[in-house]
Amino acid sequence: MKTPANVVGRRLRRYLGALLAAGFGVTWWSFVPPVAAAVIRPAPAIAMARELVELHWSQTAMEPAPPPPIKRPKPHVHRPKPDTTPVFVIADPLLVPPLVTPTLDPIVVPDPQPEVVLEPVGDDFPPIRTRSSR
Amino acid sequence: MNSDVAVIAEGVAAQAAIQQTFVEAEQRFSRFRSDSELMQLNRATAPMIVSESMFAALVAARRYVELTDGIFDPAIGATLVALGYDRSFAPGALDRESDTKAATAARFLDVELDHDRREVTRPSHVQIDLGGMIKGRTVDEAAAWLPGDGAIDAGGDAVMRGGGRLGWLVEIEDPRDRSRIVATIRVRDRAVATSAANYRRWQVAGSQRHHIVDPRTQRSATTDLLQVTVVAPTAELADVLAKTVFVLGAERGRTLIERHADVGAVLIRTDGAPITCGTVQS
Repeated sequence: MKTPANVVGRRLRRYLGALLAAGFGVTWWSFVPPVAAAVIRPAPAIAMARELVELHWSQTAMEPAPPPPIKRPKPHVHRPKPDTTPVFVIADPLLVPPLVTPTLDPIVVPDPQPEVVLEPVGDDFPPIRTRSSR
Repeated sequence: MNSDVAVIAEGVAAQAAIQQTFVEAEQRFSRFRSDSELMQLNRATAPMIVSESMFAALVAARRYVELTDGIFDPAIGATLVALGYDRSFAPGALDRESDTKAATAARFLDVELDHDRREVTRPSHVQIDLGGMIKGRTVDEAAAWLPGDGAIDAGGDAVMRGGGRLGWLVEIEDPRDRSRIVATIRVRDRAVATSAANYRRWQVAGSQRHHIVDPRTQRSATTDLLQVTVVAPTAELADVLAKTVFVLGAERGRTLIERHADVGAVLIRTDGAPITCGTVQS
């Protein structure tokens, strides 16, 4: 059955009235200064953090902090020159006389030996290198 | 002796006499010459009268056996052959696939020495090898011909006479790298000898062996030392002690060195660190 016109009219008037009221309210609040609007900030955040730090400190104070790792320089690999290697000094050098008087047993040497040329001893004494037998 | 000999001296006459000394020592004491006096003694089945030089060397060897409590023992000839050292050493020349039968353990003190007759009675199982001392002994004999300051170096066994104000500088070769010097020593009127197992090595049936035998085990010595250099009044003593200390190891070897008032040493441990002892001071 078709709604009567007076009922439709009454509903329309109600809806329009509500819309007008809402629009008026929005307009009103947009013009209200912001000072009146209070913003609630989360207060205990910093205080909470401080408590956590202190707690952490009191707990860790019982255990000594590990020492920082010691950084050691990488060892150099070098080839020591004779004048930079450790010099060992012989204590109490003694003059040692020859222990054995050379004697030649009668052994015949069948092959002639090649002549060997000597270099005379100079003022400088060349180094002697000792190593295991080759 | 399978070694190069360097002589630093004045006068050709000294050089000739020194060379003759080495030639005769080689002919008399070589284990690798079948006609040497030593090998004749090792083949003898009856008491044998030997030359003065041979008898003097055997007497000295007995003294060193007693000095080292048997760690130095020249009765290792058969053991060396059994280990594969049956010919003059050259790199690779002793390598072989199969092993030989182990030799019967022998003691040099079982060899009888008659001083009146210069007669040697050798048990049949004893084969004498004087390689542990004869090169040093020969260097000492040769050094007696030096007219004044000079040196004789035979494969690392050296005698140095005089040496001026500072003495002779002895360079100790690094056993791990022969191009490097691991330490130096200043010496005057002293002898040095070095023992190590880094060169005279060979392989038999997959196992590594070297020429320094431990008489207690009849095997190549296992030790915590890479190299031993001994400074002593004579090259013979330095030669003997260098091998003995090598066999004994760092701890007991050091004790042996410090028992002698006029002997010093530089020991190179397997970790590479040099240790000085005795008369050698760092």
